[in-house]
Amino acid sequence: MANYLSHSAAVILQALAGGYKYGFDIMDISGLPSGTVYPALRRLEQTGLIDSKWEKEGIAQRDGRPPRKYYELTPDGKQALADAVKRYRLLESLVPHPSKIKPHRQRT
Amino acid sequence: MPDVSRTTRFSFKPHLRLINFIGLIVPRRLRADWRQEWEAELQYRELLLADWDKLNWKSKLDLVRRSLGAFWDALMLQPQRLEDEMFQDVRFGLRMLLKNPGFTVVAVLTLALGIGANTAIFSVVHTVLLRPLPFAEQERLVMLWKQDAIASSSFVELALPEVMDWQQQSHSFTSVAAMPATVYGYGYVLTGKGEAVQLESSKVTGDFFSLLGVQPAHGRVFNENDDQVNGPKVVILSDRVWRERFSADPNIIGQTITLTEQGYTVVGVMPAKFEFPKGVDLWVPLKATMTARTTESRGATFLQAVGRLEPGVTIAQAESEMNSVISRIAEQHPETQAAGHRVVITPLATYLFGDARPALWLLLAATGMLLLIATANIANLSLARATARRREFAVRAALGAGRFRLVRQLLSESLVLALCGGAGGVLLAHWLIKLLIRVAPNDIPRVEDVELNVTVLLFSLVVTLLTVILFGLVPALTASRLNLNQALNEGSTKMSGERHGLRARSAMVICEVAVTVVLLAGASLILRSFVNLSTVNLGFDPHNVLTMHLRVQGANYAKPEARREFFRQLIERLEAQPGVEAASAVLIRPMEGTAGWDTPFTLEGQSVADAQENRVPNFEAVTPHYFQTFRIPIKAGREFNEQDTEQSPLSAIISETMAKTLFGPGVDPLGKRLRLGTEPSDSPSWRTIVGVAGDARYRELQDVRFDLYFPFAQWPSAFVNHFAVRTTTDPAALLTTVRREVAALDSSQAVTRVATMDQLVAANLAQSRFSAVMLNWLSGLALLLAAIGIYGVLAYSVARRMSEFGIRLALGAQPGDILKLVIGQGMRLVTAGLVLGLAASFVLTRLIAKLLYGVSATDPLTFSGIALLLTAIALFACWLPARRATRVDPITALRCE
Repeated sequence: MANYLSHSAAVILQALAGGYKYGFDIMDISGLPSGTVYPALRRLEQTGLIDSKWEKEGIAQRDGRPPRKYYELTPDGKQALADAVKRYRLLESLVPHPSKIKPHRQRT
Repeated sequence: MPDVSRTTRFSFKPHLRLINFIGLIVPRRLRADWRQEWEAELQYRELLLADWDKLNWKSKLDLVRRSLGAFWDALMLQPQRLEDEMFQDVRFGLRMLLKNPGFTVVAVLTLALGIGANTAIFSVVHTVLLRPLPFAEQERLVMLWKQDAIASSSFVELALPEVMDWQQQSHSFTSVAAMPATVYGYGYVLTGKGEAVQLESSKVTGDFFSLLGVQPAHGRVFNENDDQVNGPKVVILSDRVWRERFSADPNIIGQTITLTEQGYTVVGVMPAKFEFPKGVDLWVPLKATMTARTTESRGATFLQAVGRLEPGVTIAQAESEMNSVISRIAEQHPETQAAGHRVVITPLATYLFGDARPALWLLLAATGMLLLIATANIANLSLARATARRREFAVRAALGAGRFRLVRQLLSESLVLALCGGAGGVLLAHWLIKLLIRVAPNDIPRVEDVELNVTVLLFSLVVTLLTVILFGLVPALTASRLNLNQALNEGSTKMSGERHGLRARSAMVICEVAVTVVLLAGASLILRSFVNLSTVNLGFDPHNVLTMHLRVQGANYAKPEARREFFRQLIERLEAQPGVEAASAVLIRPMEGTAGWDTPFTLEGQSVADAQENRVPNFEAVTPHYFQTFRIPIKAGREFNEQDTEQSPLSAIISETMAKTLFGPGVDPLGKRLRLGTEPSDSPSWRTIVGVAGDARYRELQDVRFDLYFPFAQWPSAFVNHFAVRTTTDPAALLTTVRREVAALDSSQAVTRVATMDQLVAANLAQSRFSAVMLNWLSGLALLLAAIGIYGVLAYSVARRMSEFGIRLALGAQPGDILKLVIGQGMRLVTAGLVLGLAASFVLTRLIAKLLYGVSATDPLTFSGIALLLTAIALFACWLPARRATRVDPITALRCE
């Protein structure tokens, strides 16, 4: 298991823990650019800290778009995040808990 | 993604286009998923905000910016693409190699042999011949002495004031130190530590150790303060003496030991590897242990010098500078009669171990040739295989494999091969080095320090790897360019398309055979000269002779009479022992080294000028039964006997060659008179020649010198260094008897450096034997590889022509005809290679003429022997595949078409 998570990886794990499961949502909440978030997601998945799944076909078809891929922490990932939180003290404050802020879901 | 394009209306959406475009570089295995993820994400976001057309430019820009990030994402996935395909290539390569186990085994073995043998032998050569000394920057260390052009004396010793002048006046050397030209005659008797023992010393100037750049194992080395007349009595011990005599006492530094009845303070112990000059037990400061009269006189010549050249100064430059220094000194001190003196500068390694450079070049050339042959074999095999696989490549190209993909496939196969071969090579090199260390003669310097030389290993690896790649790749490239239709239509058994490859491989076999011939020629010549050397008529019989260093010492033996009496009694006692045939003392035993006593002489009737042109003989003082002890035949006259005493008329014995050269045929040398020295004042008394002895080789095996013998009893100096006993049984077993009898006479006398004459002769042959053994290993391997090469080409050709042979047999050809056909094809190549190789050897072996002894560089017997050997081996290599060709069943062969 990765002993040292980069700060951005830790932020991404924190975001995932906070319920932001999609790449773009992670970008929004963490402020990291897509060129950082996606490669980091691939690496985290390769090292087994996160898992990816495809969204249900039904939802995608209703919206007329392909299914989205979402990511989840594995038990290892949770452990890694817990370790990272000890190192990066401000991590929890960087990514607000989902209960405190609502993802913007305005449909115009 | 057809379902995606359904929803996207017909408007230009740059972010989706980008994803589509960037997706091209994503590894194919991941591409669909990758594109879907990004498109879904972007479209979802777009839907969240509004339809594309309704979006404000800021949101559009944001979407594009996000999709640009996909480029980084795709880039980061690139390593996976390589990993995937490389793994596939390697797996496929391994499968191909396992499918052709014959090819694989031969290729890996050849690679391993080429890499392993080359690395092992070069590693040995590197340590033994290139860096044989434990000194820092040993290339710059040289020995200096003088030669006298007028008296044709090749070794003139130096006096200390002269060395000091050199030190001050020359600019070629950072430093020059002096020591006596031999360790004999400078011994001390150590008492107070077990039984008395004689230890040989070297008296050295203060900067001796710092000049050599050696560090002591304990304590310190000498400095200028130690090296003073009436200086402190200090001594540095060798590792051997420290261990044997002082039980490796760590507190030895500062202790006082007794050397020949005087106290010396131990200031240092040298490491085990430092034994210079050879045979030394301890070092003492030169000036502190000699009288001022000796160290200040220009007439007291007993030294040689060791110098460290300034960086960048060559030996030739130093010699020319030193010669002008010497002439200047000779003019300032005419009493030294040094006008004809010239400096001789010899690299230290050469001085200690002989000139190893020719042998080194020879071994290097030989290892290079072996690598060449191995490389040719690999090239051959790769070429054969690649040609055989042209159809396979054509099929793959037809199915859409790109050229790059084909090349990469071959590269990875080559890599797998080279890795296996390389691993085998490293193992082989490791074992070979261990084996070589075990079989190498003992006196080869530092052979136990030989380590695998990584540079050579890498070099061999890279050369062979490049060969595999080059010769595997070229046909592949041609294959991918070639007309697919033609290649696919070409029957797998047809020869026409492979003409080119076959020609190249035939040329390679010819070259291989030629190089092998050259290698064999060199090796056999060296082997023959080694055999010649080892069977050379030594002039004495080395079997059953025990020899030792025994030089009586101490206050009791200050007078010559006492020394003579000691040896007279010892010989009498020993000759009374069972198993002893004869015993004798001798100034310096045969095969002791190239040092010895050079004594100019004058024949009665010769002028001073004539006498100075006499060849200088090797001088020996011997006791009566000497010629019996060594079984040196007396050709005329008599041996010395007990009647040759101080009072009787002075007598001498000369060697056969000396007699013939001096007096010519038909003149009886007996009764003629000579005396030592060239000036009348040197030695006034004439000596009568009473005998002519057979030539004996004292200093080197290769050369017959003049030998001049005096009776020990009639030699005023009356000292000898060695003692010899001829035994009727195993000579080593008699050592205890000798020691017992010596101790019975005087327990303070030490018997050292014990060796049988057989051992001494073997030691003199060591270097020659080493070269011979190494070269013959190499040429044996070369022969093996060449045979494999011939076999490979023929076996391949036979396999290709199976149906042809089938047709021939079906049409009535006899197996014998087929055999002749195939063997003829192979032997044509071999003959061409043989002729080429013999011609090349004829030219090349002249280069090693200097290393040969008793055999001409173009010895016809050797050359024809090689031709025969090679032909026999080649015939066998041809016969194996030819036999297979005759066993083909016509029906099967034809059905294969």
